[in-house]
This record gives sequence, structure tokens and C-alpha cells, in this order.
Amino acid sequence: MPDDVRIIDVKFGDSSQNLFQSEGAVRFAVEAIQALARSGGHHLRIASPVQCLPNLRGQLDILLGEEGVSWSLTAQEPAAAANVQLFVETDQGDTWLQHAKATLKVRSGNPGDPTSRSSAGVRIAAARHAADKSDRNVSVVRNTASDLGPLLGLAKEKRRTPESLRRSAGLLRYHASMTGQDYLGTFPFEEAEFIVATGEDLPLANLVRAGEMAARLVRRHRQNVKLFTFAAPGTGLLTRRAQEECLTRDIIAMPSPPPDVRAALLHCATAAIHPAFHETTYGAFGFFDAASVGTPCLIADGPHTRELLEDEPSLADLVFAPYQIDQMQRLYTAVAQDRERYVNLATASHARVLRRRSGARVAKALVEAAKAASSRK
Amino acid sequence: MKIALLLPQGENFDHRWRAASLARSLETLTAPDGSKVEVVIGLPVASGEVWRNQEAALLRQAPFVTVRHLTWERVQTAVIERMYPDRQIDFTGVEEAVIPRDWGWNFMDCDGWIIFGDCGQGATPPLRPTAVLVRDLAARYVPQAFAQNIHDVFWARQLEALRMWRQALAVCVSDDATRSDAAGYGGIRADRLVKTPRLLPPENSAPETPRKPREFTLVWMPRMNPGHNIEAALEGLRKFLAGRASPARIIIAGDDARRFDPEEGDPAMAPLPAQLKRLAATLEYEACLSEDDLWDVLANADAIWSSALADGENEGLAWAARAGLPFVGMRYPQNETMAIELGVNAIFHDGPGSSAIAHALTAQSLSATRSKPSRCGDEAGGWSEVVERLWGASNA
Repeated sequence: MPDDVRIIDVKFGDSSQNLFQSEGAVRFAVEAIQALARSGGHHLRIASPVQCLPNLRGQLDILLGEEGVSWSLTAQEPAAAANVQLFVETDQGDTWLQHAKATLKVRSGNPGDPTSRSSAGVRIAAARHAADKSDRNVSVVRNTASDLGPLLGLAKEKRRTPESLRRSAGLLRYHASMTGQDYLGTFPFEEAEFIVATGEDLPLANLVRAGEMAARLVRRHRQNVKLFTFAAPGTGLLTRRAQEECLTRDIIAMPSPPPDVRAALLHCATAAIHPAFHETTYGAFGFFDAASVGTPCLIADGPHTRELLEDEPSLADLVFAPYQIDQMQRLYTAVAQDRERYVNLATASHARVLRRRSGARVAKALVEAAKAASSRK
Repeated sequence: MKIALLLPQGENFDHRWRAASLARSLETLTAPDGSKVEVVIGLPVASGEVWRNQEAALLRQAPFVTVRHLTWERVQTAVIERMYPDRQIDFTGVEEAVIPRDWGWNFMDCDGWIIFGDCGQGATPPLRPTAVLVRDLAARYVPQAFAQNIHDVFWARQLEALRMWRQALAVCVSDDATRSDAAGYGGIRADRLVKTPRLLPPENSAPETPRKPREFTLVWMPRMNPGHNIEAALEGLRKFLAGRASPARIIIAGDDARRFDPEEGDPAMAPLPAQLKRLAATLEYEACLSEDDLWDVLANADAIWSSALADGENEGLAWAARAGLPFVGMRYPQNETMAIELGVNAIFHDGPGSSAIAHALTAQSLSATRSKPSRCGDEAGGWSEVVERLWGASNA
């Protein structure tokens, strides 16, 4: 990367709509932008398809708001030249389970030539298992452990206090009122027992089995618990199942909330669960998000989880087989009964990952990858 | 101090005896200023003679109460806000609510209301200092008993009801499991929840007659809705009877007992297999419209069976406790704690399956031993806290 780089363009490609259905991928992309923003006094110019603008703006507002970063977001590609361009897209197709990658094509081409997109770029995968080993241009830049704690002003030890619960519950009620969720507008989040399932309502995200677990806990075992998701209600499996069984007061969507609301819901939860079969990232953002606000997260076994377990073997106590609903349920019951132990486990692991993979290190790795691309050109 | 007990529309006799039992408890209390608690019961309007009979039954059980005609009138909340501008009620998202009318003061002359909670009725705004009596939140467990599907108007009404309950001074529950549901499902804050004593049916006023030796007699107390697991219950009954060496007498008792007679042609019986309809045709039906009717049936019973899947204050169990009869029902938290607290000889089956039901009925028929009739249910207990809250708000 030339030393005089001061403008970075980020473009979300036409496949971004698909990208935005993959929480892990988009989180990595946004995290990469955040990391680059922290790497020096750049101006970030971000372009995305118009349909993705509101979602992206919401995330960037929160994530870059306190970074002192100069940035703009439009549906148009900027006309003026930039020194570095990031092109964000995701692979698609029937075989996407095997090949889906949260890839950032980092292109350091001729800054004056917007048509030079076809020039060779560097693929950056967020985890080793997501990298295409036959692609000589691939670089693995693992994502960091996300940290939502600062959004709630939590102390370093991340523990829940009556005050942190009160503030978080107040934020959740306000958000529910503003988004027309009447049932939740006066709901005592700080007193209720509930689980937050992270991921989208898509088959690979496996939310439907988390919903089945909640249904069994409530209907068969008469346990007083709710399941919240961040998934957009629509025609997904979980939405359908919840409606068919009239479980919509116990399986509730709080779709795509701003990060601080997401943090608040996770903070008030008894536990989180990330049931996805597969993520394109190192570990799962659901786990890191929850742990960063003092909530243990059950994680489904999968390549992303195994890569994390290589570094954090103690987390095996929080892992379940994604098809085993009874195992999921037993693990949740164990976590709910001995929450403090699992909180300690999760927060200690989160702190270690964060030390190893700080935002600054991710930024440095991304810049290194850009330099490598530049030298290959 | 005057307190109104407001019964839900479409009430049946299990609401009425509960109102009388609660009135007896309240009558023993005094308000914080030392005044007696006067009880008014709002009894939903029914056709002339029916209402008069119901009033008479209430007055027999609680002679000191005043019974008033009650109509729940559906009114736009904007109109309610104009009618009662000094009430600070959050109607956000609620367009209509029901308010009590009695062709007079409309219960506004009372210092407090205790509303018998019914989610299907929708929003019942706390126009006076209000407590809500919650028997259960069974829609969480057997939604098919309340709504056809997720688009049913019941869910909107339930949401409106819950939003009003959250604004009540007290939400009264008699069981920890129901308290838990009220918090986690109803969204009621812990400081609003008050655990109150269990209410029990009136004692038998008829003179006791000697029981004649006869076949095992089981009184089944179902209601005609999916919350009472009708098909599996009949199948369980069939298996139970098929496995017996001696005959048994089965009596279906309740205010809609006759709907179980296939000859009545109730549409809810239509989908049942023919074999179960034939079985149903062999049973006895006792349409009990009052407590005395039910006592007559129980006088010759050996056990009571309830097929309810989620009745928080199980009707059959309450009568079993009062009559000292053994009980059969499904195992769920409220049933178990209620049987223990009231000292009922109960056999529970796990899950709603017909085989489990048959085994439990067989076990109880072999060992049915009577227990001592429960005398609790009329004590003031936690009601004094409710009275204090109502009084405090009324005199603020």
C-alpha cells in the first residue's frame, strides 16, 4: 500500500443482498471496515446497493460513531479516485455450503480507473476453514472477538448488575415501543428468563431447532422461558413453526436491531444460543457478542466452532450437536442452573481471543494483505 | 370500603363459587381505616330466570354480598379517555376496551375492583384501583382451546388484556407456576404479583346419606374444548373399561355435560372416531348448573377425574379436595402443588396420551381411598395485602 493512502473506497457488490442474509459475512465486512478505519487517518467512502443502505448505515453509525472516523455511505460509486478499494461480495450457488466465504476482494489497482475491477485482487477469508486452498491469492485474516460491552458501558468484568439490567431493559422497551412491538413495550426484560438465538431464519442458521427446543421447554416441560431472535420475520422455518403452533408470545423476533439494542437483549438473557451448522468466520459472532456482555452462549458444533476450540478447548462445555435438540435442551438447562460458571468460562475465553485478535491486529493484517496485493499487481 | 368482584362475560358456575369463596375471605377483613369490607359481585347478565337463580346461589353461599347485573360494554379507548379524563391509563396500541356497566353507578362507586381475568375479553381498563385474579395462562400451553390459529382475534384481545393487567395494582395468583407464567408470559412485574390463598367450592349443605355398596363410580369433569383432551381422554377411558373385570359407572358432570352425548349432535363431537362416539353414548351425563347439583353427583362418587391439560386451579381437584375424594389428572406443576397443599389423594399421569390415562384410572380404581375433606380456602391470607393496595390507591 502506498504511504500516501488517505482515501479508502469500500464497495458492496451486487451480491450484497445475499451477503446481508449471512450475518457472519456482513459482520466480518463491517468489522474489517472498522479495523481499517482505526488503522490511520483515512476517509472511508462506502458504496452499497440501495436496498442494503439502511441496514449498513445503522451498523456503521454505531460502530464508527465513536471512532472519530471520517466516512460517507451512498448508493453511488464515488467518481474521484481512491488509493485503496475494497470490494465486498460473497460467493453464491448451490454449493455455497462448501464454498461460501466472507470474502473481501481487496483491490489496489489504478486509482483513476474504476473499470479496473477485473484486475487480480486478494481474497480475505475470515477463518481458515472458509479459505479456498486452491486460490493462491487467498489470505486468512481472522475476525476479532466482537465486543459489545462498551455499548452498554459495562465494567471490564462484564457482569450483570441491577443497574445494568435496568438500563438495558429500559432501552429494550424503548426500542420495542418505537418499532411497534406492543407486547414488549412494557415487558420486564430484567426479570424474565429468556434465550437469545443468533443468526438468520435460514436453513443453515438452524434457528428452527432452537425454536423447537424452546417449544419443548415451554409446552412439554412447562418451563417458563422465551426465545428471542434477531431474524426478520417472514417465511423462514422458525417463523412458520411459531405461527403454526401459536408460539409467537414465546418465540419472538426482534429483527435487525441496532447494536446497542442487540447488546442489551443479550445482556438481559439467561443464555444465548448460536445453532448454525456453518459460519464463514472464526467462531461465531453470536458467541462473542454474548460473552462480551456477560452472557454464556451455547454453540453448535461445526467447522467454525472447531477452529475456535483449537485455541479455546474449555469452550467444549458449551458445544452441542446441531441436530440434537434434546442435547441442546439439557445443555441450556445446565447453563441456566449454573449460569455463573458458564459466564466465567465464556468471558475468560472472550478476553483471551480479544487479546490475540484485537481490532488493531486485524487492521494491520488487512493492510498487510492490501500491500501484498499491491506488490503482486 | 367497598370492593367489586367483576366476573367475566360468558361466566360459568366455577367462576361463581370462586366469587363467593373470595367474598367470604374478604368479609373477614377490615380496611386500614378500620372499616368493614363490603363486597359487591358483578354477575354478567343472563336471561331473567337464569340470572335470578345464579344470584340466589351466590347469596346462599355469601349472604352478605350485593349482586348487581353486569354488562361488559365494548367502547373505543378514545371515548373512555374522554369519559374518565383523570385516569392515567396507557392505552397505546389499544383501540377498544370493555368497561363494566350495571345500569347505575357502573361500579365506579366501589373503592376497588377485583377483576376475574379473562384474556379472551380483551382490555379491561383499571378505571378504579384494580387487582386482577389470574387462574392460569393456559393459552400458552393449549392455544387450540382459545384460538383457531395465529390470526384469530383472541391473540389481539390477549395482548390488550395483558397490557391492562400490567397496569393493575395487584395480579393475584394462587400458585408459583402461575406466578411464573404471569411474569414470563404475561409480562407482569414481580412487585405487582401477589400470591393469594386457593379458593375452594362451598361445603355440601345437604344432610349426608349412607353410601350404598355398588360398582366403582368415576365422575369425569371435562369441558367441551381441546384444553380437555377429549379424544385421548375417551380413548383412555375405553382402554380403562376394557381392562376391568367388573363394570364401572362413569358420569360426565359439569355445566356443558350434555354436549358429550352424541345424540345432542354437538359439532365438536363430530370428528371423533365412531368407536369413541359409541362409548360416549353409554356414559351418564349430569348437567350441573349449580353447586348443589354437583354435590348430588359427588355424593355417590368414588373418584374424580379431570382431563384438563393446563387448568391452573383444576376444577376437579378443587372439588376432590372439598369432598375428600381421590383424583386422577395429568401431571403439571399447578396440579401437583395443589394436590399436595390440599391433601388430595391424587394419581397423575405423565403426558396426555390415552395409555397413560388408562393406567392412572386403573391405579386409582384399585386403590381409591378417601382423604379428609379440605377446610381451607376461606382464610383471608394474602387478600389483606390486596385490600391494602386497593385502599391505599383509593385514598391517595
